[in-house]
Amino acid sequence: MSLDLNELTIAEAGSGLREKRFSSRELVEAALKRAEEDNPRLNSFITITRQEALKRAERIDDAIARKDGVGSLAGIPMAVKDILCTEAIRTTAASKILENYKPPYTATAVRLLEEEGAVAIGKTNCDEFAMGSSGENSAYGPTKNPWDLERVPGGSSSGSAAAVASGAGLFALGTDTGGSVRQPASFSGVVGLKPTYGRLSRYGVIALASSLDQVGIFTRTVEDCAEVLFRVARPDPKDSTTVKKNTPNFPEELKEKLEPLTIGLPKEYFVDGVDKEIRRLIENAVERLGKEGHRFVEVSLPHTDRALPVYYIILPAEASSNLARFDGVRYGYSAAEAADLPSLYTLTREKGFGSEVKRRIMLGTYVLSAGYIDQYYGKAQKVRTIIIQEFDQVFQKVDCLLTPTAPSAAFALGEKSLDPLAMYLSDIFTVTANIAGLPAISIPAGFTRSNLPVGMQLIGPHFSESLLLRLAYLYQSMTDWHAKRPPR
Amino acid sequence: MVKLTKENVKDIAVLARLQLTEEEVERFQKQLSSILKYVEQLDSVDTNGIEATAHATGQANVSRNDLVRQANNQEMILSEVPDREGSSIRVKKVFNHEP
Repeated sequence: MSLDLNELTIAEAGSGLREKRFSSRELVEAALKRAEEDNPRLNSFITITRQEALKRAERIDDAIARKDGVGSLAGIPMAVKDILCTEAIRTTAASKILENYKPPYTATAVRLLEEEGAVAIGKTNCDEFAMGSSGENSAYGPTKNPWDLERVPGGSSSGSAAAVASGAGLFALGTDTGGSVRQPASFSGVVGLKPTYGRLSRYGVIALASSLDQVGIFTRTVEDCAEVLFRVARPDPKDSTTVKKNTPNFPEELKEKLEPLTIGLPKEYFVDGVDKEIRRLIENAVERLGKEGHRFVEVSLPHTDRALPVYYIILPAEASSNLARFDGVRYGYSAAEAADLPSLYTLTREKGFGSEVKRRIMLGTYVLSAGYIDQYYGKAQKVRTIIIQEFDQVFQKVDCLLTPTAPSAAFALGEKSLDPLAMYLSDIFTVTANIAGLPAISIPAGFTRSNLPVGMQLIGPHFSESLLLRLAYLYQSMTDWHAKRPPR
Repeated sequence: MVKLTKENVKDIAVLARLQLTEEEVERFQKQLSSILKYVEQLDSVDTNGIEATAHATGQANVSRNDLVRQANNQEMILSEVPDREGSSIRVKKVFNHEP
């Protein structure tokens, strides 16, 4: 049987490269070929960086041949959400307003991975400025779910999820503001981690909502997730919200034996709105982990149903402020026909932004406007405190929480795109972790009868990534969901 | 909550520096009203004596030394400017009134 270079784990690819069973050029070429072949079908990539990737791979092959020290991810192909800036490589945020934008610098998360030798094969599609839960809000067309081309792969990091699921890159970076890594990971059958707020740098991420945004990781296995996290979780002087903490050796800690845990099942996450098949799969997972000696208790987070309204005030408020910078003056699209400066601003923004972006800028502007700021934004920031306190209290009693990642499996393209509120509800179980700044991971937990992947979410206290990864790893070792690949 | 009027939507658009089409004004009037109605369920939460949260992990102000560093990417930055003259950015006239 020939070796499928697109299906390797990071560790397998690393040892193959060191033992010279294949070169980085071959590994990167295979990922590029997969990305290029699938793109007409999946639309996972906005830009594929063939030349840059091959050049970088060849340099790594040379370094390996010279027996120079190379990084832990040397020669490994990765995909990067097109909302993370990459120096001199077009970065669009899936918006027309940045169609030809080439950033003068690289996001810290990407830079750290490149310093370890990872090779970016391209920039992945997403909802415009990460505003969306389906990938359909991209100015470059929707991404398709590799498991069913009639369905969405989830969003906003749609292309990163689809790329990893379909073998175009061994891992990918995304961003998660309200579930934008975990929900697409769930819909696409891969592992998706949102680290603790401040665990890694947001420098170079085109900002959506700065108090909620976090860079996240897509991989096919939990081990790979631990490896990538270990390389990017660093305090960064360029992002003062990063927390000065030593980075645990996540891959090493993964091997440590897990003491019996007390795991909370928040009853607000097991309500009627959850698809019955998903509920059954999550209950199966609980049963399996129970047999390994872990204790499950029902807990309550009474303000869970208020998290989404909090989110849809804080997010548009911060987004409307962050997106004020797109004015057609310093970079990006500029409406040259405008007669004066005020009309340059309005025309540029009217033509450059898509519908969902305008909707959220409008909403954010309204909730921040004089006379309404206390009623909306101030109130939301206070309810946010209550939600955080509830998590704090629950984590006195349990080590972590286990929930479905999303109330349904991947929905059909177009199914929710006309009703913004229905679309917002698909984030109902993921936004809470962003509001409270908690780490959370989605891992494959089975398939529906129509062969759509379903994700299970683990949420832990601040900086408990290592615990979440170990529990996820234990579950992965008892199942083979993660090894299933979409049809080709 | 009072339902947003078309005039409300147009006023917000001015603040947001968006020039909406009539069709957008109508659409946003409905959609924003229904989203605002949804988020107003927060009104029933008692927040007396609760502090507002700005940073989820409680990070306080962070300061650094105010040092000059060389970036050396000025030309790359300026190459993105839609309308430039040397190292200056040219903008449209701010006022468009006849004297």
